[in-house]
Amino acid sequence: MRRREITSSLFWMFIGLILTIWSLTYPLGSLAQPGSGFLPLGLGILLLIFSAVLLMRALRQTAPTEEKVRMLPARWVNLALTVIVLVVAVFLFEKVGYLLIFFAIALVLPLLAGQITFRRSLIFAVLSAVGVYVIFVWLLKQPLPTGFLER
Amino acid sequence: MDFFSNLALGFGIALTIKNLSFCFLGVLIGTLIGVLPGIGPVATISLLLPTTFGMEPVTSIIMLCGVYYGAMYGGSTTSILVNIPGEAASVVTCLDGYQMARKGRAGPALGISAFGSFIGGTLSIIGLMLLSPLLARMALKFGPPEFFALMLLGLAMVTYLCRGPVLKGLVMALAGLAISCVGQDQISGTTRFTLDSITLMDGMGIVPVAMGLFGIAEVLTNLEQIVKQDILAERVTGIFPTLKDWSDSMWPIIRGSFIGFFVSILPGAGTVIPTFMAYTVEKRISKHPEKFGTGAIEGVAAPETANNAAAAGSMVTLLSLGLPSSVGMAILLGAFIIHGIQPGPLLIAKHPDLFWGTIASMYVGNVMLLVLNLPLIGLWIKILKIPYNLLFPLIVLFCFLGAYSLNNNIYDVLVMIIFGVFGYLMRKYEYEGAPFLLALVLGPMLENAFRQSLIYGDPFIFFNRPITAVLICVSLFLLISPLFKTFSQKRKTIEKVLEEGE
Repeated sequence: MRRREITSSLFWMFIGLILTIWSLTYPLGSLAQPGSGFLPLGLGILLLIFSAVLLMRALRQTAPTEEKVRMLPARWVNLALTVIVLVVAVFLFEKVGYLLIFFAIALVLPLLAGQITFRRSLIFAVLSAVGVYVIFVWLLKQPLPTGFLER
Repeated sequence: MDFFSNLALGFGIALTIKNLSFCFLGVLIGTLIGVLPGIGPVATISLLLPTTFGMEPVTSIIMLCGVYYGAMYGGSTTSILVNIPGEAASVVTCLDGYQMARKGRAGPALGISAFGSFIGGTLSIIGLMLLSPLLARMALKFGPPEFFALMLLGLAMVTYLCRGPVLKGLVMALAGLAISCVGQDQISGTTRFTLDSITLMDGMGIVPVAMGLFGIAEVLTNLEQIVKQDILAERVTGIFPTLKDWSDSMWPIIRGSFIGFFVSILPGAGTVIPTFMAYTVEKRISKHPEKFGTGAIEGVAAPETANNAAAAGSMVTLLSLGLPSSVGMAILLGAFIIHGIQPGPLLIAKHPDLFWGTIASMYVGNVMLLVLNLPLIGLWIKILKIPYNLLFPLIVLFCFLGAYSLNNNIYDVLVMIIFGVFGYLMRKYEYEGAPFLLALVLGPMLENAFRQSLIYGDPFIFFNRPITAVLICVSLFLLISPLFKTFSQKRKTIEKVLEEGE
């Protein structure tokens, strides 16, 4: 608990610091005529102050408080892989096309979640890709990139 | 006379075949996502938004509003049958609804929540119809300082009401405001914090961020533990409540309607707080408070009525002042803006068709929901049986498509994923997403109002005007109140109730 509080407050302090420094590169104006850096600077300073208070509070905690601490996920590898699959899909989306990308997402994600056979996942992926085509491309006429499948 | 002619205009618009169909579609999708845990109205409205680009604004708003109040109806089904809230405003329904289902009274529980929702929703729309024009007329006298103070109060309320220390909520609100500064400064035209990215020139899109925080983050959180849902009742019978059920629920429904409507008007209250208030009030004034939590029908009727009343009530400030009182309303505000309409005091005068058409459609939508929900309960039970490992890829696909279709820009999808991971981590570290998103939506308006107020030349302008001074003092009081013992204890009580509910 204590460690997580320290980590999160340090993260916000870092963000506050970046925001404060970055805001100084924009015109600050005056109190009667605030410039574009005025509000972000104020936000950055407040973020620094509040995260410092959070940090101090965390440091003052001696023993771990309530034991309802949710530990880091045991399934974090699967979670990380899910995010990686999505990021890769983003970068390949326009080159490969929506049909193959959605097929791949619908095939891989259930397998990552577990408790499903490859065959069921494959059927699900085919149905999802066809469903997206019928609903979004055929019915709603959404312009989606077809990638190298384009004739 | 003017009032009735306006209402007639509204029904003339709402009852066209096209608007009726989209209203039906909206409430149907709303109920569906209300039933399904893991996707709420915020993410759904966000991902449906791109599909409404080709529609007339009024049709689009009718459909999206239908999704919002439809979700309030659907949420109760999951709470009662599975003991998992379909969406946040149905958390408290689990307490007595699930116990009723365990005693074999799932039917009356579902029935009373449908009837209560209908009554609460309808009474609340009457309130919305009467109060919004009055408030809009009053708001015409407001200047930038008043709007700034109102927005500040909304943010302070959301921060105060979020779980965990107020400081964490405050940090999230500040971060949201900081992210809202990305893009072009509306007053001077300076480009800020864009890292030379063309995508960021227009600012951080509300929709991809909302989909990330409330769609992808939810999926990632649920992926950690896929809970097998045990549905208590395979077949629900006896949906119509008995005479005794009605007599027990009549006053909770009436009180729930009033609490839901009036509490939701307060900036930041949203739809969740009124449900807890309605439940607590019923428990407190009941002759048998010990029955609450063991399957008391009043414990289902009051919160379910309150959440539907709150859905319409929270639209009051959006339609009359242009200020969203909750995250759901913030997304709806985004929908208005995307369609080139600025909600606010002039909305009723400039777009009477949209205002009255939407209100009339809500009456129609409520009737549709009542007719639709009771016979379709069997279908919702079947949908609840879909395993989550097949449901979540679909949610991800829809979010992907929704984010991409906004501008046909793949970087919007990337923004969504980044905020999905951010939202997931924030949940792990017990920071709430609501103050962040509301701050992101209000940010540009807040900054404009703040800077325009200061241009008057008096830095104390916020304390020289009575309305502004009161609102700012209330906001500051809310934010510093946890420092005082009595208020901090009260807040902890609210938090405890919220946690018990979960």
